[in-house]
Amino acid sequence: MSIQAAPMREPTYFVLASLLAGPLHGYAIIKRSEELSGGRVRLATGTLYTALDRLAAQGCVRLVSEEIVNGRVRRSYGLTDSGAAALRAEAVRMAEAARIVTDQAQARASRRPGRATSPCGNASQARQVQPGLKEMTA
Amino acid sequence: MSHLETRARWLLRAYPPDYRAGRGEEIVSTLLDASPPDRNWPAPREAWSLVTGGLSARAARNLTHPLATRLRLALLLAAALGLAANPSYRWLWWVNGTQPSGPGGAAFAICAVLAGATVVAPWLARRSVTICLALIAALALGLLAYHAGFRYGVALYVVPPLALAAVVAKEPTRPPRCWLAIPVAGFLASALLFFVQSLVDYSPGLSSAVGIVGTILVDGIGCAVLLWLAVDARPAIAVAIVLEGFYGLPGLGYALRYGWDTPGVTSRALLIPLAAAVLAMIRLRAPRPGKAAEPASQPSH
Repeated sequence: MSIQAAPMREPTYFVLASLLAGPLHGYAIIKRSEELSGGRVRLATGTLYTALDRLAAQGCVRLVSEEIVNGRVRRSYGLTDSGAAALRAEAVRMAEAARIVTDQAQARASRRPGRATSPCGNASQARQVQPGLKEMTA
Repeated sequence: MSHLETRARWLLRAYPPDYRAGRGEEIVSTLLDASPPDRNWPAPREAWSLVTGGLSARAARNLTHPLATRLRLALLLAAALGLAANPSYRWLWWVNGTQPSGPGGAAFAICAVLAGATVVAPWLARRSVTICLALIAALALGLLAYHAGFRYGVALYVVPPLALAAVVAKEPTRPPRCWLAIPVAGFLASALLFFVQSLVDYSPGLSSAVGIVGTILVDGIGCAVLLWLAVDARPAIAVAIVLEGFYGLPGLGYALRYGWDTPGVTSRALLIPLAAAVLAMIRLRAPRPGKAAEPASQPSH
């Protein structure tokens, strides 16, 4: 199973993901990234424009439109074909990486049906989560 | 314009001027949209992102110059820094009235004016004027040093203006305007430290106050150069060259004559220039922004 050597950083991933549905301006990208990540990715303004500069240089995003709203410049950015391809490739890479863990965890759980396999908990904690785990796997 | 907008615009100064002209309004607009309406100051994370974003934009801009241009501009700054720090005590003699009288005093004053003019010329004057000034300064300073009996120190007076003339003749790019602060701060620091030496016998209280200011300036240059390294290797290379010229090579000569176990010799001869050179090379090896645009299917981050 092969995984790409250069993983995308999470803010970059969500910036690209926020543009999947169509072009957005800067503030809308910030809001959409936050929504898509469940509040985990809160882009600061400077971070957003540094990412957009880099992604534009890489050909992943492009300027779509420019308008004046309330006397201020508002530019909208869209995903290019290669940007969409990069995003898909990253999603596949993460899915493959996740499958390595979920497959092995499932195999481990099926080999030892009576024991929990929490990587962070000690034996007593593992025993405490055991009923919940049984419910999930039932 | 609200307080928040005023402060956001002030933070935008971290970005290069041409970047601000193209993107500044858009960034401010997004920041205002993203901030609560009653906010007067940008949130700390917003302020930090603007400063670091601006510095990385400046770094990307600096890396677009060819390596030879970057090295030549670093050498130019080193020459200006060396030239500014070296003759500052002659200004001091003139200011506090202890300059040699007669033709000797006039020669010192002329050399000091020539050196000062040569330092600022690459930023302010035409290339031909700068080259002429630097060559005249090299000749005048060399003669002065020779007649003053600085037999072994003549090179310290002659090499900086000659190097400056050679770089300006070869390199059409002007150094960034803000770099001028480094030789000016070097001049002020060394003048203050020389001033302390002249005061130390009869005014210990004043001399310590002036010494503190001079030391702060010297340390300030060092800290500023270290911070600058995050953006640009060239000032660090310049300071490495000056340290090597003023401390490294004399330290090496001292070590060869008297041994390496003399306190301070090893650090002067090797460690200081080596550390500065390593830091500068780390920064110089940063990838160029243009080269970072790999095929979009495998972006580099």
